[in-house]
Amino acid sequence: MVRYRIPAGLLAQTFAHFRACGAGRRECQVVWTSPWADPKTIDAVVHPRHLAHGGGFELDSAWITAFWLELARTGCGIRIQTHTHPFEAFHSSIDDEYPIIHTSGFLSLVLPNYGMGPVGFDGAYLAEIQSDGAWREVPIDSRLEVIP
Amino acid sequence: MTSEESMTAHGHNHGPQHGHEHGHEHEHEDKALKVRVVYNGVTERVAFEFSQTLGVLREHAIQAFGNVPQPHLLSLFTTAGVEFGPNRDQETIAEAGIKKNEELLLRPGVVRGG
Repeated sequence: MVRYRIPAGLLAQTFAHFRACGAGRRECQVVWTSPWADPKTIDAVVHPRHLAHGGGFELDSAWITAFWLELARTGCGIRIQTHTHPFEAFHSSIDDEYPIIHTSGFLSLVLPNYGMGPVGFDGAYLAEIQSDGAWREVPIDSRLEVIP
Repeated sequence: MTSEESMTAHGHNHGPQHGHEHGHEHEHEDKALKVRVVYNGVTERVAFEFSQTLGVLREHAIQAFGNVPQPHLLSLFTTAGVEFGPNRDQETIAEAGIKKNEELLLRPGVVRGG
């Protein structure tokens, strides 16, 4: 089990993306990445090119291809995907089926109210892929630590 | 980054019995058919034969990264964005036009949420 460190500034940047892109009307996603040389410390928030509506989003395939090459070039990996829901945060069947990473232990953070609330994890839901492929809710503070 | 880098860039260990100088192409490895597969920022070299199916190559690529419990949701992509997903598993690698040392991306065909 890995407990990732996310700088407070990157968490704030995450919410800023959700507010600017989703604008309280659409879902939105960002991914948190870190170098393979130091995977525990998140060092970037990446806002994928995507289509979105009030109840969902889909990433642009060409963008994913370019991003895959960029990750290989920079020696970084995706640790956590983070997206918004209109109301309550949970992991839907669509969230279960179509994550960006399929490796056991990968984390998916869902934020409520299109991410328009205060910066932090109030009402958030964190899910993790199990070794059998099922997703299971895990306590946020067991996997994520916000650092200055 | 390559997870095999700690072993060797040439694909096998260079122990004291290796018997020749480094820094040159190895004849036996010139004959090895491999593609480079990228998944989440890591590159692995995966062996193949042109007569094998894309399904076998996809399976071997997924195995190279281990711990992927839903393999049917991952496809191989060329760097130009051509997808070799489960619907093309019966095609041969030769038919697909994949070349030796080609870089392929192992990634989900679709990423969405809702």
